[in-house]
Amino acid sequence: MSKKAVTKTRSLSVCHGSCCVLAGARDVAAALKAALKENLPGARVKVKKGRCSARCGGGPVVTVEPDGTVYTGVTPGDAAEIVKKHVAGGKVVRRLAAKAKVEPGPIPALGESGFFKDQVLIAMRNRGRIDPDSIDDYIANEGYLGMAKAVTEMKPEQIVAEVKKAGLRGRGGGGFPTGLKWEICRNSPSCDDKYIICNADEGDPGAFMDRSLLESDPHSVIEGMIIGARAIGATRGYVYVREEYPLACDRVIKAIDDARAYGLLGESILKSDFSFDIDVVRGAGAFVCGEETALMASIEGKEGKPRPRPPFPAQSGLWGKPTNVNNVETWANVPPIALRGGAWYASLGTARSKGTKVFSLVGKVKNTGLIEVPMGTTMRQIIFDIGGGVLKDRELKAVQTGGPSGGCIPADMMDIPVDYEELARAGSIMGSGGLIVMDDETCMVDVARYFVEFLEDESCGKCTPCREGITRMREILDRIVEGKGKRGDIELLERLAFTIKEASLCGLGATAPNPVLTTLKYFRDEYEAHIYKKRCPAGVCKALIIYRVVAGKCTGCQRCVRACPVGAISGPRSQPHNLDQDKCIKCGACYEVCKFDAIAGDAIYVE
Amino acid sequence: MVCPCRQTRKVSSLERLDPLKLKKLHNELRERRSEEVTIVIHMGTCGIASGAEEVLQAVLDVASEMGRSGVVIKTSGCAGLCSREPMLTVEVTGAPPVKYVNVDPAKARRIYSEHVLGHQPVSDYAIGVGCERIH
Amino acid sequence: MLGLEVLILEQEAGRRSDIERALSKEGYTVRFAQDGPSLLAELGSHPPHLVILDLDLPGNEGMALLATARSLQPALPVICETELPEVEPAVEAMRRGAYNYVAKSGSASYLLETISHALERELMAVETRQRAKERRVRTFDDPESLAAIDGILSRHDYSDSMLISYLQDIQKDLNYLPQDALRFVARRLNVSLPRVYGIATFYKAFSLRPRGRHLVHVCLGTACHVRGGQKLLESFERELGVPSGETTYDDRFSLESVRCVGCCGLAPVFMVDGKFYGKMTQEKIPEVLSRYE
Repeated sequence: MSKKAVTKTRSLSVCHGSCCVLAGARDVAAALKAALKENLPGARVKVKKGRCSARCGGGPVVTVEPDGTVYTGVTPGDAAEIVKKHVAGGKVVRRLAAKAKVEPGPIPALGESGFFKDQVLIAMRNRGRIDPDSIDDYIANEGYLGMAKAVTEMKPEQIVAEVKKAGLRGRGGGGFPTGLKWEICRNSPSCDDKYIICNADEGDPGAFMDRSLLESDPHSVIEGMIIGARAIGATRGYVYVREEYPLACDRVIKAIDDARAYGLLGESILKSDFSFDIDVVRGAGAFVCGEETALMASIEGKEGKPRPRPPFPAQSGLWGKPTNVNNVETWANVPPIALRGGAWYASLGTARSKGTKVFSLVGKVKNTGLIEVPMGTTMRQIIFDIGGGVLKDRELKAVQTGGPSGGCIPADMMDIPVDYEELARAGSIMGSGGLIVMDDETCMVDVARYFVEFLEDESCGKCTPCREGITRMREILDRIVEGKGKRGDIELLERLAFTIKEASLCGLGATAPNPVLTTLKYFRDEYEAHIYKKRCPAGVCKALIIYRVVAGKCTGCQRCVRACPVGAISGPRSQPHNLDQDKCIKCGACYEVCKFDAIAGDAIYVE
Repeated sequence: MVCPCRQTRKVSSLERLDPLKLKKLHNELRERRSEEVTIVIHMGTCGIASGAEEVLQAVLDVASEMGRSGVVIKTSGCAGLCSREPMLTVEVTGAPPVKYVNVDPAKARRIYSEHVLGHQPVSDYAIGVGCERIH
Repeated sequence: MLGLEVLILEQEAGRRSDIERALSKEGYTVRFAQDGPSLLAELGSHPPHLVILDLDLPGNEGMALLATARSLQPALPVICETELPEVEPAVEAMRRGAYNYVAKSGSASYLLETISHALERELMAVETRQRAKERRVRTFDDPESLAAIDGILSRHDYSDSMLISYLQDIQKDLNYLPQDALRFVARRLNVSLPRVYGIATFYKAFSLRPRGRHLVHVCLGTACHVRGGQKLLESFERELGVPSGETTYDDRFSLESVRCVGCCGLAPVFMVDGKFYGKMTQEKIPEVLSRYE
């Protein structure tokens, strides 16, 4: 026994690039695990899910580490030979060994550096590969197989159990365990109908994963909903889409029609006794409709205002019937869980946050876009490895997460692993996954004011703490950014924040003070600079800054003269320009052109 | 804009599926690799906003000039990296797919003639080669 | 410039014929007033499109005439001329409502340019007034309009739970939600008018006022905010001359801000009629706007 355990091989890395997976890499991995168990019990050899090494076309690819032997075109039938001959015997299986090393070409491998390296896809598993309007493309990539398994081979209780085992939590913000939510709704007594809803009223500014998922892979959301309906016992579903997303709306409608035509949706799905159908409802522009009870009011054709709970939607929701609401990303995670089981999903992530999370990485970062990473990936990895660092290599100041209900995490906390608990501990929330990167040219007081103004606009006005409290906060922040802040304003903001948090009716109000509280916690000095020194350190707040031409740097290229809308800048070509402070409206147009287009590059500066 | 591959593709039979037929269809579709080269233009909202429609048009134009036998031209949703849109991916069967970024109509024409028809990746415009990892 | 009449009071004969020659060549109809009182009389009986007034009349008659003329015809553009341009009289002339103040020694082409600018502005103002009038009288309670609305309501069997959807479809057809339409919807669905108005005012997508031919949406999502979205909006306000939420006088554009259009990777972003423009700077705005008529 002990002799067997001394194999030099530490791991077998099975490439899980999409090509290899399509070619059967999952089966190869399973076969290798089984072969190891049979032939080398007790040996500490891991079977890993590897990154793509750009040997696509010859897949599935298995790399033996540490010696680096690469096997291509491996089938499950080859697993025993690889284990016996190579892992146990230390001899290369010539038949399968790749002919030569892949010469590192001029184009780097996606799996080895940059934006795509650290990403692992579950929700966005078909990204960039399928035509969203083609149901056949989706089926070719294991589409609807999870649903088929759930409908024909699993009992509803089993589906719920698998989702619970997966540890999937609501991806829309709250992070409530999805399986538990389904179970409550399933157990809720109802004489006839139950409903399920896909919340695609993506309201958080700075997050757009729901839009992208619906536009790129609408069937994965539909399949998830069918599985959820089966588990809960629902007969009808709704997809509530923001009105700003017409393309997403069109593609979901097309996908629903195609699924019906194949008998995957509608009466007796897959010729079973299970029936379920989906309608699409367009929102009409109200952030608060992202809140479950408001959203349901909106579907009923009413004003989208939240109502107090209990009763919870799982007991009395849409038209008084038990209703389950999950967001787009949550639904998109369900099909693979049904197909591969909860344990598979839970193998990624941290102790209490499982699987992956899609983030929209935006703001002052080099690579902007949508990323999907395992829970627990650090903020630093996300911003510097995937995002490529801060735009123009400026200094990172903070990352805003969770939308208007979230908070700002300062640069010195970038090593926190991103999951629900860690973000909450930092004073923010996961939210729907917006990550807005801020650099030293972002004013945190202005950001706080921005969110408060947003929430003031979006407050439905039903309860007083939210309606009046947020307005008062905005007024205080207004005077601070205008340079009229007073001693005691900071303390007043804190008191107001506490009251609004405690006394508001729904989540919008209860979380509304978060952006103010976190910026106060981590960037109090910026507030103080605005109030006491009448300075805006980031150079953003108009009332506190002036634009100047640096005579030594100005080349007199005249770009700013043309850009100035009020003619405040003058000067002949090739000579330092003059900026008339009386005329200047501080629009920043000169600063923009100087920074991006002009010869000097930095001759306009903000004071 | 409608995905161009659908204009030629036969509309699949609208037969209602049962579990067995679904699996059979899945296997058939997975194996189906009739064409030599696939070019995918990524057309999510960011891509379209950055000019993906013009790129698609350029690809269709150059295809009708230089020929498109053995070539599948299709569109997909977003490829993820908004700041480098428009993006497209070229995959020659048997070789790893190559992702191109910041594509414009002129670059698209060059990629089509050199990579799609000539099977030589254009390293000047490529960001990476290979696939994304899925769990 | 056919049919546009210019009335001139000029004491110098030489200058009179210079102006007449230059203006006639461009197709303007030129009339001359002998003196102050006859100028004012002409304004009453045959109002011209524009007046050129000699400020060098004896005494300070020119300035007095200017004020009276403007009070008689508040919309009338008056261009003042003088032999010796000086700052103080110029300021006073402008304060009294002159459109411009030019030197007699200036070139004819400069005078023509000034005239055409003034008339252009005047014509635009007239057009705007006319349109505003039309807009006010435009109604939708004729059988044809109502039948069209009825058609929309019938799509979902007049079920009142689809109210939001009906209003979206009506707005799609009519560009906004006219009063008549809302009244008809309430009557036809047998729901209260306040409920219909409640929906129409609660959701931001609805407009109770007519909107321009093109809709500009400037995104103010967080990503756009930190990358200068607010400045972009202010730049639009200057460029279009209207605050956010309003429509330009020529009905060409309506300017609105929106809370995130979900295209954050390209921030800052704006949309015109649903088409996205990403990675924008203030400088690029005029060029984009010029693509829309």
